[in-house]
Amino acid sequence: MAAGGLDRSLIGLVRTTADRSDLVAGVEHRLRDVAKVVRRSMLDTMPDGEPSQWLYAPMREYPSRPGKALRPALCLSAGRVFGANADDLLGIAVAIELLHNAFLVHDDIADGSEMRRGRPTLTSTYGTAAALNAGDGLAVVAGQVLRRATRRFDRDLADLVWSEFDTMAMRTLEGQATEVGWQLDDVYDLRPEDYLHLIMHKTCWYTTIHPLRVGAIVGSGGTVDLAPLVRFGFHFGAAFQIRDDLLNLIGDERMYGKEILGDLYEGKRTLPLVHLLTNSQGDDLVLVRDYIRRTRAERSPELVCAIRELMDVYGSIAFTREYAEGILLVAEEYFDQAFADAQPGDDLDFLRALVPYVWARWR
Amino acid sequence: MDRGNRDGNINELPWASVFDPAANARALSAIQAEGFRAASELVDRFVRIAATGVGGNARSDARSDGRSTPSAASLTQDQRADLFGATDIEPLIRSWWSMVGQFLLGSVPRATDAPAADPATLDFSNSEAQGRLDLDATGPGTTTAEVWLHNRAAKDLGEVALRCSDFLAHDGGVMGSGAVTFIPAAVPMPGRSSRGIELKIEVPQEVQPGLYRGTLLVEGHPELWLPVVLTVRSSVS
Repeated sequence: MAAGGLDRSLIGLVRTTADRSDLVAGVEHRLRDVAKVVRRSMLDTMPDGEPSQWLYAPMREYPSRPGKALRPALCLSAGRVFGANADDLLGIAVAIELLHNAFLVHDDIADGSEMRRGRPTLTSTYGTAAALNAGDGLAVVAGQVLRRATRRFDRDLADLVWSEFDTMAMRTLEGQATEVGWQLDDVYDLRPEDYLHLIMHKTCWYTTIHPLRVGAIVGSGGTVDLAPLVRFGFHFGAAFQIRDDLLNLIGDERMYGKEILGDLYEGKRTLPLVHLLTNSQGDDLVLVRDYIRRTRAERSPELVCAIRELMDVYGSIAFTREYAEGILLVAEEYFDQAFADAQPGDDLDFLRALVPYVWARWR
Repeated sequence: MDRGNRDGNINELPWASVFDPAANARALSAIQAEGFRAASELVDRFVRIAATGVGGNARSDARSDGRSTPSAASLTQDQRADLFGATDIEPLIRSWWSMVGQFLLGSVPRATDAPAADPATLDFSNSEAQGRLDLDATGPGTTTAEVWLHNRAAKDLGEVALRCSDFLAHDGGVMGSGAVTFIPAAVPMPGRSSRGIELKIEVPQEVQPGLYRGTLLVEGHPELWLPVVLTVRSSVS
């Protein structure tokens, strides 16, 4: 594929193998730095004392494990390019990451997952009840941290940040609830648009859109135009989620940190599965629908592998990749609109490198 | 690279088509076009509705009554669901705010580019108090307001705590200061710092509707004080 004659920054960034490894290394270096600071701050905010074994110790587990720290990194950089100082942002970034950890704990319970960030889930180590409490605890601490962080703002700005936070949390729950409904009601007449609608709520709002928006609000004192940020955030977030779904199907467990094919055991409505449901025929369709109707425990490894193979036969994986490429098509355009008034520098470079990074990490 | 992943090398990814809008008019496959279109339509819906004044950055447009703004009223069921979710939580919050706002701010919370009503402040460096604290409660329940403390000088004032008087109504009705808590109870005030303290009133069951007045004082700083006005409204309307 020639990139001849194109000098747009993204294409420049990924033109050669050397550039690509620079880009990946640069983004990962930044994420690692942010992760370190945010992890320390999260653990600092965690209450100490009793009951330690069944509450505070489990609450500390996910925040201590190495996570990507994408959300806080987005918030910090988006804030700084619009003029915020790091002190105004760190608490907000930490609150987002704590709420993310709370969601992860509850997700793992709902999904019956066994692995998270390369180690056993809270629910498999401590049981459902203790894990539920730990998840609740993390959400409460996230609120405490945000309250402390917004005390330094004037009242209108603090209100705005809080209303963004509440909206984000509700959006995520709406997405989660929609997905649960699809599974409980054995819904299979889904289109790719339905899937996008789902991840807009379930993933994009809290992974990319909210961190970018709230950073930009704080940085600009509420004056920045948020619409292009929603566009950029959604396109980037959707690509990020679809990549994650694909990695679950094609990746390796050590790198991925979760069970491979875990989504298939769960019956999660990912884009490849949506494609397979609409395109498989005859006996294959019967098999896929039977698979959908079963519970997680009833989905044998043989059945899961058969479904995975059908995804190759029907081109579901190739479809997903191409569909996602289409979503990314305009991400750069939106990036330029969203950050037209932003200050150049390391933070802006980091944000600009994220979309090609998502694709470069695709291996 | 595993099965199903046809691009073995990053350089084979169609970067040119993905990132160059001019080139992709030709190079876009049918599937890419489908993803592009679906994503754009979805995000447009969110952005468009937000821009018409109900949510997001255009919240200042929905000023008087969140439930009856024209833009909110003209939304379809789907659009409402997109924006507010099944809970319709945002209009609820807005209408609640507009009610409180009649007493507190005179309007629902505005975007930060709108000028704020003067917040209640206590300035230690020039011993100046500004504004007043207005609280509103419908029947028994909790109501809060915030006061800002400023220490513009370099001197560390140590821990500062506030104190509140009993509240008195024109007909002699009294609400004791025991109903008041400060969050946090005390704040450190190092040089060149500002702190916000929340005043929380737990309006007891037996308090009659009416206008109650009290005084906010600062321990160790007798020259600083602020009026506090609590409006208790009947919970049956």
